[in-house]
Amino acid sequence: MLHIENLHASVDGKEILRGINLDIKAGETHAIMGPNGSGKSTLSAVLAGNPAYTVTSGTAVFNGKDLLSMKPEDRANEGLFLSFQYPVEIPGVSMTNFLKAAVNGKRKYRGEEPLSASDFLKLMREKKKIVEIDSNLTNRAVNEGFSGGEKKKNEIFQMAMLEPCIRILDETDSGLDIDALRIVANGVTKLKSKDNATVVITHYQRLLDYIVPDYIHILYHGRIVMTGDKKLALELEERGYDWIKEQFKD
Amino acid sequence: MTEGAPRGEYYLYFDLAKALSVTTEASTAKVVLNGSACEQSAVSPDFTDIDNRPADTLFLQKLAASAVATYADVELREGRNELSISADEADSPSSLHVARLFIHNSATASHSELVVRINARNPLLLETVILADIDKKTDVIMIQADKSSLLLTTTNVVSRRNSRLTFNLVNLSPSCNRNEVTASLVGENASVSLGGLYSAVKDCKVDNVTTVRHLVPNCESQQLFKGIADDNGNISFSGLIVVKPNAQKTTASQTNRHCISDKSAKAYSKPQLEIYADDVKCSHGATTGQIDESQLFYMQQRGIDESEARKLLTAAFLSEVADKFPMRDVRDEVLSLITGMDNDINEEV
Repeated sequence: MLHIENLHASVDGKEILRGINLDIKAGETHAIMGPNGSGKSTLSAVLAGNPAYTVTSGTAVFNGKDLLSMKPEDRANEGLFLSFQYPVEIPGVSMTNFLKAAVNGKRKYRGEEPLSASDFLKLMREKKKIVEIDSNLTNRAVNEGFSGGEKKKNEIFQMAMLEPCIRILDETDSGLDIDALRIVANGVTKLKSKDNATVVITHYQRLLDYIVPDYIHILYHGRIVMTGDKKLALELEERGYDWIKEQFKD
Repeated sequence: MTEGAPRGEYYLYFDLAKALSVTTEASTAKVVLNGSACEQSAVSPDFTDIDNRPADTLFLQKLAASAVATYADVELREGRNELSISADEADSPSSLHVARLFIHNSATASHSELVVRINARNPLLLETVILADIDKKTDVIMIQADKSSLLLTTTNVVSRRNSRLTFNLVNLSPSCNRNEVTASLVGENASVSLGGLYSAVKDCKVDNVTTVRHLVPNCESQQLFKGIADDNGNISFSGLIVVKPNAQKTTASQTNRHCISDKSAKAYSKPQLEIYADDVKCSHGATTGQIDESQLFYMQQRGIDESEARKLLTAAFLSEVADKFPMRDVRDEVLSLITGMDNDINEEV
C-alpha cells in the first residue's frame, strides 16, 4: 500500500530524515517509536505533504502512485489520513461545513456527486457513535475551545467520516487521560479493516495495549534502526532508549 | 502590514471625475421600498453644522431638487423592510446616478429593520441620512449585489436620546467602493454600532472612512470593520472617534482587521481617537495579517482543495462581522455569498 524508499527530508535546511525505508501493506499496523527529536513527526508531516518540509531524496509510492509529487489534498483524497499531534483550531469554520467540504472534496476527486444535506447529516450521526463524540462539539467551530481529549476524539471522528486507507496517528495519545485514550484507541480499532493500514507514532507502550501493532520500528537520528514485534515496545518501556542511542550513535 | 495613510479622500473622486460623464438628465436610479417605489421627497436633513446646535435638536432643511438626484423618503414600518436601489442604464453605462435617502422609523414603529440591496451597473453615489429617533430601535444593513461597478456611499447617522442603531455595510462584489459613515450621537443614552465587511480582488478597491462623534454624555458606540484583499486588491479603513468635552461617560470602541492573501494586495489602516473629555472608556485596535498556513494545511490534509480551504478561511475571518448582524437570515445569506456554501445544514445533528 505504501512503500517508502531511502527518504530524506529537511526543514529550514536541517536534515531530519536520513534514509527511511518502510513497507506497509493493507491490514497491517505499524508502530513508530523513538526518542524525542528522532524525526517521527517529520515523517508523518512529509508523508502528508506539509509544505514546511522539503524532501531532498527518496521515493514514496502510495497505491501505485508517486505520493511525494501530489498536493496535500490529493494525498488525502487518495486515502492518506494524518491524525495531528496538535490539531489546529479554526474559529469561524463550523465542524459541519468543514466536514461537508472534506467529504465532498473526496467525492469530487473520485468523480462522484456531492452528498445531499440529509445524507451528510445521516452519515455524521452514524459516525459520531463510533467515537462517542458529544453532539455539541460538532456544532461548534473546528477544534475551537476543545480540550486536549476532545481534539483527539475529533481527529478520530474525522477519520471515521473520511474512511482513509492509511491512517497515520501522530502521538494521538499525548495529552489524553485514561478514559479518553480508551475511547480514541477503540475508535481506531473499530475502524480497522483488512483494507486499511495504520501507522501509530508514539512514545509509550500504553497506547499499544489498545492498538496492537504487527511491527514496531525504532526511529533514531532520521533512520529506522531497529524493527521488531510488539515485544520490542515492552523492552523499551523497561530499558528506555539509552541502549539504542549507545548502539547507533554516529 | 500597516503603512502610511489610506489613499485619501481625493483619490477616488479624482478617478470619478476623469472616468465619468455626469449626466444632466434626471437620475433614473430607482428606489423601491417594500415592493413599491418610494415617495419622492425633496426634504433632506442638514447636519453640516450640528456641533454648534443644541443637542437633541434636529433641523430639517429643504433642499432644492437637484437635476441629477433621486430623493426618497424611506419611512420604515415596524419589523422588516426591504429597500432596493438600482441604477442600470444600458445606453450610457458610465453616467453617474445619485440617490439621496432619508431613512427613519415611522412614528408608530419602535423597532424597524431595513435591508438595502444595491444593484447598480451604473456608477452610483448614494447619500443617506439615517435618523435614529428618540426611544427607537433601527437596524440597517446595506448589501451591494454583484452587478455594481462603482459605488460611493455617504451615510450620516444622527442618534437621538435612547435610540439604538446598527448599521452594517457589505461590499463583496468586484468593484470600487468608497464608504463614508459619520455617526453623531446627539442625545443621551444613545447607542450606535457600525460594521463593515468587505473584500477587494482583481484591482478593486474598497475604502472606508468613519467618524463617530460623541457630543453628549452617556452614549455608546462600537465599530467592527473587517476586510480581505487579494490579487492587486486594495482596502483601507480610516476611523475617527471624537469625544467632545461634555460627553462624559462615553464608551467607544473601534476594531479594524485586515487580511491580505498575496503580495500584490494592499491594506491600509488608520485608527484615530480625539478625546476631549476625561471620564470615558475608549479603545481601538487595528491589525493586518495573512491566512494561517497551519489552518490551511489542516484543511488540505482533510481533502479540501487549497482554493476551497482559502474560501472557508476567508469566510471565517469575515464571519465575525456577519455574526453581529441582528438579522440572522441576512447573516446566513452573506455567509453563503462568501463561501458559496449553504449554511442551512448547521442545525442540531
